[in-house]
Amino acid sequence: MQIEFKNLYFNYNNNSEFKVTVLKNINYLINKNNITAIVGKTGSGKSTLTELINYFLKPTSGQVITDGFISENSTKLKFKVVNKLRKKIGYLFQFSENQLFEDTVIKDVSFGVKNFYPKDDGYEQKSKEALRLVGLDESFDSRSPFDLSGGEKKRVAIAGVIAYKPDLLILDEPTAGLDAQGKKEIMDLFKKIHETGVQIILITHDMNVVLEYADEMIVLDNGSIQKYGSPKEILKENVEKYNLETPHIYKTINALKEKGIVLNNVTDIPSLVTELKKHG
Amino acid sequence: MNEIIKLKNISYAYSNTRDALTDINLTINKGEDISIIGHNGSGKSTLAKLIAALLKPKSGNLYFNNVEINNKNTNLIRDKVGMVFQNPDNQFIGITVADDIAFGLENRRIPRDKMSQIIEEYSKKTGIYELLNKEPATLSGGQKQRVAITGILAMSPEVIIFDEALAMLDPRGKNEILKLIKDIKKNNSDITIIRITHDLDEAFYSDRIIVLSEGKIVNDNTPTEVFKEEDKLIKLGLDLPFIVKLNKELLKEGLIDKAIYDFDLLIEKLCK
Repeated sequence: MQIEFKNLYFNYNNNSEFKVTVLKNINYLINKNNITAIVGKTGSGKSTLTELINYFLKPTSGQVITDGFISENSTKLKFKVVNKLRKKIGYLFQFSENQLFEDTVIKDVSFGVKNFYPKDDGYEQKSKEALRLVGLDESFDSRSPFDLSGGEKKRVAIAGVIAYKPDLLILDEPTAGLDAQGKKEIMDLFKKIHETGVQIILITHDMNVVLEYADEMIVLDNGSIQKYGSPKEILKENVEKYNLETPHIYKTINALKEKGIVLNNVTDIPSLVTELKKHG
Repeated sequence: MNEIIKLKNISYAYSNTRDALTDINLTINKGEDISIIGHNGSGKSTLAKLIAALLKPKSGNLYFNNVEINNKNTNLIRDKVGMVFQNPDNQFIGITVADDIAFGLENRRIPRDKMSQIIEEYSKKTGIYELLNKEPATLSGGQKQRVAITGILAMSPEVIIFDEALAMLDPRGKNEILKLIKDIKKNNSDITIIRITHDLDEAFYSDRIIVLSEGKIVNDNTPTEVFKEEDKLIKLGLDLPFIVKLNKELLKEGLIDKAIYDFDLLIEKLCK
């Protein structure tokens, strides 16, 4: 779905002395076929930007156009309209693993499906499919979410947003707190979901994940877009000034470059070793 | 070396269905900087909570400074073991940063004037003195964790447990806290640091690594020894730190003749 930001400004507490400007003059069109990463330090406005997409927040001025729905300050939010849009968007919040509340896993995952499609009695089947997809077998269905480990809870939360089959997934720090394999499994899963035609917007601090999975990235700093484009190009340069961590492999290439060894076509450790050998 | 924490045949279960930890035997010495790693659900956080006496073992014995901990003396541990959690927002109770740090001291009935003195002293050490009158909610992630750490330091702990305390921070916040932990250790070499972490790059620089899987300790060794067993780690859902992976490939291709785990030294060697 097409998402466009037009002259977008956003302030928290706009009408009080505690006014904080979070986003300043954002203009951007998110490519609908991509995995788009939004990156930036804590407080740079990443989550605010994504919360504007599905009407959790209204712009202070300017517009956000999501799938043809225009949101601006004067927009009256009608339940029917908002609900129609939110059905299409799966929003995985930061700390989503702390938001489970039902007494069984299957009930928790079904909650969204039932909410958006009250007349559909296939919710249990859809929820089960989602749970199998995130790698939780039948034995989890009737367990209490509160007996699960942090990583398992995260998977339940993910199942909850993919169960109602949204067109767009917004993922706020989906891999924080997961072990290496869990991180890879979850990101590979999102990639698989993306390949079935689901658009993905990803908020993360992990530049190694951005490099490996994202098609385009937006760097936010001080409420403005500082850079956008292909992660391979952006992360090669010094991104530390935006308080981002250079991926390990580029850190190594840059350190070698400073010492006079310039290597090209390096994307991972094997290609680094090959190029080093060529260099002699 | 003096032992500070000892777990003897400790098991724990959240429900009757399965044990979260089975027959754990572990001795931690005073002043150690130790990382506990393991896949999600391996029992890391449970182990941390048992050490902090926040959970009571199903069976087995816990010793703190050679005293066996039972129902009546958990205060021995609570007073001396501080814990920093992953989500800083879950651990604030004060209206201002200063109030928050004061909470623990009030519980210990420290007189008011002495309390302000302690708060001032420790907030300067952790670099949050300027933030004392702010609302915790307005701070950045790294600042919040520093407040949490200050509250713990003010209680003069013997052990600090960091339970995924860096997982939600951006690189700046992460580096801030890593440096702070280093400083704490430098100022007081007797303090014992326990890190529960998924960040293998962080674990690599501690003195000792405990690897947990399915509620059991499967390895307990120095970082270089632990990371030698790559296949075993990958089977457990873990990975190798980047620097170890890089060294391995370089060694295999004969570009270096022995492993160099310091990044700058490695780069220098490659440029020769």
